[in-house]
Amino acid sequence: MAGTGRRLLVMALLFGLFLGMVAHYSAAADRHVTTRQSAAKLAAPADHVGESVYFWSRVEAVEGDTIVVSRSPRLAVTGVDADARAGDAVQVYGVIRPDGMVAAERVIVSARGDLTRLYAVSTLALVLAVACFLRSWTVNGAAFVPREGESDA
Amino acid sequence: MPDLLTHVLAVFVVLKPATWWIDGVEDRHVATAMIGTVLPDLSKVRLVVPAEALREWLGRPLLFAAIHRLGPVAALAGLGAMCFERDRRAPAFAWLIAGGALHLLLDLTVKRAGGVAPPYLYPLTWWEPPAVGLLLSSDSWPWILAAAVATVVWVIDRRVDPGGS
Repeated sequence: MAGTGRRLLVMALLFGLFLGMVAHYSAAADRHVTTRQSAAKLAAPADHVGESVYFWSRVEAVEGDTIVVSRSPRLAVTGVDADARAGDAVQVYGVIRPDGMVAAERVIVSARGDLTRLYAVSTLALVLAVACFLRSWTVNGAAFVPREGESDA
Repeated sequence: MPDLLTHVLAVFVVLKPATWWIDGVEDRHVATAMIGTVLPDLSKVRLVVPAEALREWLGRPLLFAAIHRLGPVAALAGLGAMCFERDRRAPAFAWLIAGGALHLLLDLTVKRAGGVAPPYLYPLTWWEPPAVGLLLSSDSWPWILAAAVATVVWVIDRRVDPGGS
């Protein structure tokens, strides 16, 4: 029983450590992470004219070489030379213009259909990993132990 | 990040040969590392969690991307290791963290418009490493290539150890 209590205590401490790191990262990322710094600039573009930004978003509309991406406030990116369509995911590196738009310097597009396939393939991978794991391990009591036939090295 | 299938197959391709040459490395360790390589992608919980509702509830944004960093992955690996019987926890932790670390390493290959990858080594450092820029997460060729190489490794394994270890 003492062993079980200690095990639960360690698990609780590890979970607390995990939550603590996630909370700290969330609080501090604006000062350290390029995409978070860019998000802060794009929230007040008039204060950051001429500064570079890098962000990921989803395309809402396309008009010529300008795309509108799903951000709040609404944001337009111009000078896009990539083939983007509504629903696609985009990465944008560019510069904030005086009119609040972003002049694109580099845009990378992931088509919506490709993203759907990505999620399907990744779900298959999860099933594969769990199946491989359960082929080698089984549960005895409240712990994973090697299945019979697995050598005990 | 490449798709999760590429990550899982990469663990198989990298670690399976170790079972041929290194005493003490078994199939179950490879399988444990395959679970470890899934851990960073638990950040994808953001796809099903209503972020805005969570932000209102907490009063501040919670960045699920944090789960995709070394420290949280290590904590999750520790939690996972505690699910093994006592004398197997240390090796389980090592294999889980190996799988998670390989995942983060492969994620450096993703094309990024900004030229830098996220600070994967958090909390050790906020350094954003340069992105190698080989592939897009949504590309199919990485998992097709990984599946082809994994098949070759699997066939060789059948010849090395016909009964399976």
